[in-house]
Amino acid sequence: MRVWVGLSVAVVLDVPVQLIWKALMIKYRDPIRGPHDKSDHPIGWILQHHHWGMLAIFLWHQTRFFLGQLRTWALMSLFVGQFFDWIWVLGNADLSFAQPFTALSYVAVSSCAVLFFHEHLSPPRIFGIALILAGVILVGSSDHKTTDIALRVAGEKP
Amino acid sequence: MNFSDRFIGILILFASVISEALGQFAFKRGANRGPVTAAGPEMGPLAAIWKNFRWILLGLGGFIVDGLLWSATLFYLDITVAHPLGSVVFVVVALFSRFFLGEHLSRRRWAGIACILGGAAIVAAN
Repeated sequence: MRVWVGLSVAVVLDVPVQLIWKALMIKYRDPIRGPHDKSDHPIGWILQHHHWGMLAIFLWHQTRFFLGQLRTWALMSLFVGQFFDWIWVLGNADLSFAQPFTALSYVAVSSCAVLFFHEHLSPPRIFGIALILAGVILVGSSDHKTTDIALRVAGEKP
Repeated sequence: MNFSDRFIGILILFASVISEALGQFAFKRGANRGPVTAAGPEMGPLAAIWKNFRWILLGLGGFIVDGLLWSATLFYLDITVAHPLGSVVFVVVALFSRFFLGEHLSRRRWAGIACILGGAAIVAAN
């Protein structure tokens, strides 16, 4: 029962993580509101200007930008929450049981995009979401911890 | 997007998938709360994090490397290619669980993972 609470929290926390991360990267790439350099992508920039001094200046600009963003700190707090929740889930369930549930965040993020941004759901996307839900139901209806089964079969004391 | 970009991108993508699976594996080890008795596991989750700190650090490292490699993947590959391929992580994590953690994967669980793999690929590609 407690595992289900932890898994739901993991999926619920993943939605703001995805949306805030996306918003942060949109701002990062914005020529006016983002850090002021002319690169498309940090790796491309490093490849073009591989002197250590230039690299230091570049890293300083990036760091200053990210540290100044409320979105970064919101993301960091969400990561901390996700970390403790996930450790708690893994303490109570198999990894191969818990990890497939993270696919539900695809479904949750899609639903939010439809609800809040009025995005259109194409028929293949609806089919994909149905397939994910079917898979999660299949995984969810399997025994959630191997040790319990193994101990039962071996007849050992837990 | 030429051939060698795509080839490098796919190699980096698989490296990122492996490091994510490694991160999950290490977190699972780190979350180990000791032998289970009738009163429940030996320690609470916070005590487990403290006791298995090396596994937790390895896990955090795995996820950070995963994030960096994933950014590099998106630099080389279009998102419509990278995201569907990235859902292979569900199978890799299942294999890690089976062979390195000794978890029992029933046919039902494999079927569920296969559905999720297909569904995630379809959602990501559209």
